Amino acid sequence: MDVIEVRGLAKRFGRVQALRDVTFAVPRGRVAGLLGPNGSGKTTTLKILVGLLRRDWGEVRVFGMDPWLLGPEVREKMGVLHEKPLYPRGARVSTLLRYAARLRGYSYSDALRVARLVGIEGLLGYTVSALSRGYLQRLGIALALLGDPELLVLDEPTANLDPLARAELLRLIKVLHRDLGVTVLVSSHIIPELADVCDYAVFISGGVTLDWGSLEELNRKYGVVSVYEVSTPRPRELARELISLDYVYGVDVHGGLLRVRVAGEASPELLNVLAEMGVDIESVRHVGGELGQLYSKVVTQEAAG
Amino acid sequence: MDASRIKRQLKRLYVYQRYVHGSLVGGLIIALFVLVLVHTAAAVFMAPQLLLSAQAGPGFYIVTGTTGLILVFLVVFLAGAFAGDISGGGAQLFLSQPLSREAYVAAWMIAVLATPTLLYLLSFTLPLLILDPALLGAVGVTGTGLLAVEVVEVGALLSLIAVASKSRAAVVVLGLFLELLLPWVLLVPFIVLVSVPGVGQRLTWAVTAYLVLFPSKYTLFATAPTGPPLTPTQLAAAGLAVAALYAALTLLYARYRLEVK
Repeated sequence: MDVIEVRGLAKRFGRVQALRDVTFAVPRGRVAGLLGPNGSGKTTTLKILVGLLRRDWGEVRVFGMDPWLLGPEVREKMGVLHEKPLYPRGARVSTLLRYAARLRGYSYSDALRVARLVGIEGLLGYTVSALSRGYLQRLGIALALLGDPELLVLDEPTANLDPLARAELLRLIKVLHRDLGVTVLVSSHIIPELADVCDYAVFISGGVTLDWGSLEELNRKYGVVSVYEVSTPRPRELARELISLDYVYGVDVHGGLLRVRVAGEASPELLNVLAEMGVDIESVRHVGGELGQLYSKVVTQEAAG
Repeated sequence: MDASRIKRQLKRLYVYQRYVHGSLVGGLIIALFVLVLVHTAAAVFMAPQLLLSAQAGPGFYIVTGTTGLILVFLVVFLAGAFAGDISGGGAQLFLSQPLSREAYVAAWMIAVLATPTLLYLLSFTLPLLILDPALLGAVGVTGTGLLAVEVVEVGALLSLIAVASKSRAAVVVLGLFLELLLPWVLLVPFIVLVSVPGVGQRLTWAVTAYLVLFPSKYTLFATAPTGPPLTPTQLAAAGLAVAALYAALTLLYARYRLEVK
């Protein structure tokens, strides 16, 4: 089932046509990257999904509901972090967390748990005007995580975070996805970061979606290197056999785990070969690809026609 | 909309209005303190005269006029804070939680209209009742009641302007214009035309409309040759109906048009 369904979405601000034709879907349990240059319509799309902006045209469904008409019902299951989170001046961190938790039917102790998770438990008595941009971002993340959401919508979540906090947030996204099955839609202009967490991508430019799908499918479609992790009790033997294949670009051995870089379009062949090799294979997992390369190819190909 | 959804939204409205009032509590307490102080002092010092003559003199009306001005400033300030919250981040923050736009606006309307008006009425009536209930009878509640109705009307209109403009400056400027300037500007044609033979009678509808929009000016027409066209009760009912219309339009705007960037 698709958690997010968008068809033919259009939005205008005065004379500016922010979105012209945005169409994509995000299945449940995916970590989807929303990728596009500045001004491509990512933030507008996300705000329409949250129900803060009204669409001019098209259809939007989140959990099967229209977020403009049934915003509270949609947001009960959704956590949101805005690109530039705004807070009421003079409000205390603890007050914002307390009331946001209560609106979700949770207690202040739940809010404290989330505050500890993002490392702002020592700042609860501070007003938001006393916080650095990095801590304001963490507060935004805490507010997004309140109420154990099924869907996280994150607009440039690592902006304003130091490298350590950035890595921590990306790890948190992975944990939420892996352990709780949270669906994530995340926009970022730092593509390598997204490559590390996403298994799905939506490419948008000039208010139009260029393409979308799982990274495995997209890598195959655009001929971009895919990376698979193969778990086996005989890694060196398997590595020797795989490296001899002309569509395999590289194999790294990490204990019983192989990281295989393969031409995107040859992914099905690799899977067939692994099945036929007769070597014990415990698991095969697509772990990503060259997202930057995929992004360039999608943009170039769509621009060419 | 089913009952459980309405119940959930009402619960969230209650939670959010507590947040709104909490964020405004400092200003409200100061306003309440000043109002109670002035009304109590006026009641104490004027009590003998009020009880003897069984009616309020000009001195008492100067006091209530001044405190009425405080109430007007308070409502304009609160409506400005509402607009500021929409443009300044509060709306983005809380409308990203499971709070409906209608509940968000309704919570602010309670803070802009109901709370200051209630505080004003309490600050006026409680000192009188505590000192001597007969004082309330001497002063009468017509003037204060009509002022409260007018402030509710203006507050509802300013709430509509707040959600439509999202501009604190626009709300404050319009609010001050609507309460401090417009009623007196509109009064000029009445003063001029009322003495023109044959015109006075035909002004009834205009006076009625004027008084419905500015009920607190009722006493200005009480001594007019034709008298005021409506009784204070009728004016209060009409004024509250207009306020309800503004409030309904504000909620409809919130439902169908209010966007938060």
